[in-house]
Amino acid sequence: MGIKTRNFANNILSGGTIDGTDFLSGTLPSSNITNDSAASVTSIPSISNVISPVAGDPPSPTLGDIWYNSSTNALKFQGFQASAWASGGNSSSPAVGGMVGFGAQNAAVLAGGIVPAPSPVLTSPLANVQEYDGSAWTSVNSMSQVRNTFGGAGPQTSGVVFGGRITGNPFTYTAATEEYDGTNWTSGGSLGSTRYYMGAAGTQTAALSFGGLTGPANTDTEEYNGTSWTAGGTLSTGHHAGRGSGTQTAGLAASAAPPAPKTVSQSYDGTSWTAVNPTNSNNAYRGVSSLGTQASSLLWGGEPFTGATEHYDGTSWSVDAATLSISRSSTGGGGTGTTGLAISGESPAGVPANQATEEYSAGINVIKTFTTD
Amino acid sequence: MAHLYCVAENTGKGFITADDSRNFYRSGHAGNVWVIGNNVYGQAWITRKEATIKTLAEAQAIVDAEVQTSIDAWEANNVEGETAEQKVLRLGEKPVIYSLPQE
Repeated sequence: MGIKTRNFANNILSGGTIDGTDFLSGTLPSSNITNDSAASVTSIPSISNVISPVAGDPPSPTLGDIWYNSSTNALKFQGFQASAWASGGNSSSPAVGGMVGFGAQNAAVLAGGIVPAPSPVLTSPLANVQEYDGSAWTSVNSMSQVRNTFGGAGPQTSGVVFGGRITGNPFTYTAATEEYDGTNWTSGGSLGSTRYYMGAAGTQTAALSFGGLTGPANTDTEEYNGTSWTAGGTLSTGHHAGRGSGTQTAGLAASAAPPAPKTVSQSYDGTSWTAVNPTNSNNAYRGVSSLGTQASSLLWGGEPFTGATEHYDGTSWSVDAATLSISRSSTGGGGTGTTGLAISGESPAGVPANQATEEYSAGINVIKTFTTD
Repeated sequence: MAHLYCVAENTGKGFITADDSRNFYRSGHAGNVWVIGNNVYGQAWITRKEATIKTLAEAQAIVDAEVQTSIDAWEANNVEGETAEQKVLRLGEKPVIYSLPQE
């Protein structure tokens, strides 16, 4: 165990008593510590001798600080509250897959998707759109074009969607773009090529479309300026179902579906893509915090079905302690790297994933109170 | 017993709070089946949600039936001339029967 530093230590007396006369810094002898707890301590002096009373809470305590709040007569400390997913409002979209989400945790959009249809059509794409206010979903104006497995990006009041599959069997696809102002959908410039299952990032006036399917998974990137699409840099690894966050000049593409490696991760500087550290979870069809950045983004869920979550810090992906309550794939993705939003999705039997929403909150330092209960 | 099994309808916002997530294990499955960590917080959640307690076997049977229905639908959903790879792209992977988390 060695030596363990304690703010009030260096004063463990031979009889196991803490002497509070020299409490500001020091070390506890290892013989007095067992399993990270002080041992053989038979008594401590009055709290006011070792922890100074404070009228109120300190304005900017650091993790691990302990103080006595003399206003509320409570012993407090600066602790850590772990990250977590919590239930959000259920959507009422009938879509069972292929939907797209974008926007913030308390101002998001869920658009499109598919519903089952009788043979020979099999699946019918939807134009349905719903908005989320942080508590409940409300149906709003539909897109002009039915779509599923398309691209979507931006905040709720300035979103953009593009591409996708637009019919059931026989399957047909579109290059069309639509812009959303929070109320109405209007036509934008068409993609340079028809495709679906592409990744998306950015905003209505500076969007990215990358990868996707037009046959084999492709490496194409296109950039949108609010009017038209132009060719961008080529992905290092071509893929479909890539997940995007960040901006047109600082984008992040993570995860992909086979045959591409599911853990692929690449960053974009507005000109070219560069491979970065791969994700940890070997899952495809994941969800992403679409308003995340190149320095802070989240991925969650995926196939094989999982609730695993991981965070990107600009250098590497790390597994997060929080997991979705409902393991699922293909969720619509909103929010940021600290406030993610998992919208709907697909699970082994559809229910209960299709309409469930979950909200992510990042771990934070919080003031806690010692209790004896 | 590390887990409890119950049936409860996901009512949306507030159904599982962030504190719930921190305090006990939970996972949602087909048929409104929930697997809940067996501690005081998990037990309190089951009471609060008025969930119906099930045995592992009962909960597994509910999930199996739901998944089997999905498997049957997936297998019956075919397009003439479509390859297996194309079918997966269109419908996603075929659902599979799986085991609920056990203690």
